[in-house]
Amino acid sequence: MSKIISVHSFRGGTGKSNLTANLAVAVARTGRRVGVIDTDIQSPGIHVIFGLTEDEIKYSLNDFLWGKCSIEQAAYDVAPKIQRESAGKALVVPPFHLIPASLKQREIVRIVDEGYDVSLLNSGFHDAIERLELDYLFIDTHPGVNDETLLSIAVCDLLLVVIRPDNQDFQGTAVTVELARQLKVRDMMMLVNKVPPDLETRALRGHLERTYGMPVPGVFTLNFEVVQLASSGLFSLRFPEHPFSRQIDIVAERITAAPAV
Amino acid sequence: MSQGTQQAQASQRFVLQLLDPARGHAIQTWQFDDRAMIRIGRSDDNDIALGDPQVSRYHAEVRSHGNAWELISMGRHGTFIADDVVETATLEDGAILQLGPTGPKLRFLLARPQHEEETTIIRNGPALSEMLQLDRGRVEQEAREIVDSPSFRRVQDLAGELRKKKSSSKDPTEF
Ligand SMILES: Nc1ncnc2c1ncn2[C@@H]1O[C@H](COP(=O)(O)OP(=O)(O)OP(=O)(O)O)[C@@H](O)[C@H]1O
Ligand SMILES: [Mg+2]
Repeated sequence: MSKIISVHSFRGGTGKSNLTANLAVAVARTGRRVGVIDTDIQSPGIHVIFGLTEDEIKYSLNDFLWGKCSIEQAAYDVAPKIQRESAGKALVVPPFHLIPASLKQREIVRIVDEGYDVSLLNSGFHDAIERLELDYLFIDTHPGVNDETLLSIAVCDLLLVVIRPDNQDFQGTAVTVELARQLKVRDMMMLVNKVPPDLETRALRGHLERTYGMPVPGVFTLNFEVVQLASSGLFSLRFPEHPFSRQIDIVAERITAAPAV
Repeated sequence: MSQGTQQAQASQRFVLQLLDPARGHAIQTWQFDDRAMIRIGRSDDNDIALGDPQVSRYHAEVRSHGNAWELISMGRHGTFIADDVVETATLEDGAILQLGPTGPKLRFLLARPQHEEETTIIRNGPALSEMLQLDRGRVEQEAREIVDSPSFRRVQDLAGELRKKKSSSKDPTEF
């Protein structure tokens, strides 16, 4: 049974795209067929982490939403790129499909201006799962609350809420979590990123679990190595022993261990 | 506590390591920055809480004393340094304290630990619960405003339909 996993944060820049990319790869390494879709149409970004360049993109999610192509025509198998990222060690992953949003400014403006039918987005998710035979579809969402984000929360099997230990994130995230509950989201977990290194991890996790009433399986510290890579690659493949990568593995295991719905 | 003493402490750091009873290596490390005093005991509200029967609820304190750190023992089963029971003692770098005659051992170090990732750092800032707080009333109000909006209703209806479709597509004739 395939699963849709939405990754969301109330504010931008929390590390959603980097966490999504690294988690998706960790899941793919267990032999599952994984897809990643960039629904952050206004500010697409996750393709950069996978090294997919603009000239390699013929059709994007935008084209699918305009009826110009099927979803699988907008999907790119980045498994070879992922395999090349693995420092020295041979790595084999099944086909891994990335569905990018358009990087063309003109197309971004147009879709933001004109809007689109959000139910089409949902068809895209299900077509992708069926035709690309996916076990997991990860959705990288636009921060904040808008129609497409709410829809991807409503239709997913697992919502990963990304938060930073910051009061501005804290309040807004609580609102989003409340909305997700109203939408009867099936399952929710929280990931906390950019944690200052001097903050006590266990106390922070406990505080978040008590406040939001959901498990917090991943606590990621703010660190220089991730900053330095600057989203130009898959961190957990380049630095597999780094605490950041180990947290990725823990969360990925948690995702794949969850019972099928 | 005067402003002066707090400032004098700011540069002093120490580390306590819980040692593996059999092999003597550190299994957990706590680093204390900018602290004038820490507590060790079985009760959860100690800076180092150890769930061992030989450890009293409030077993010992480490306090700054001049330029050094001093141990004050309060535990019923005593605190031992180099097999001597102590009530108060100045802590030398590398000293090993035992809580109770055969209880857990802690190593006191003035240096930084080598393995950062297994370190639990206790900082003297505001408690997390004060730092990260929710205004539940406001959360509810904001959520209600969104839930009552037409666009949320639309998404909610749509999601409901899609779920129905998804579960009906599980119809055996489809597979
Ligand atoms: N744990 C971390 N430590 C340091 N830097 C991090 C960490 N996690 C992410 N970053 C950096 O933060 C920046 C934002 O990350 P990312 O693009 O993944 O966030 P995002 O939530 O997807 O942002 P947006 O809302 O713009 O889509 C990147 O430069 C990334 O390298
Ligand atoms: Mg992003």
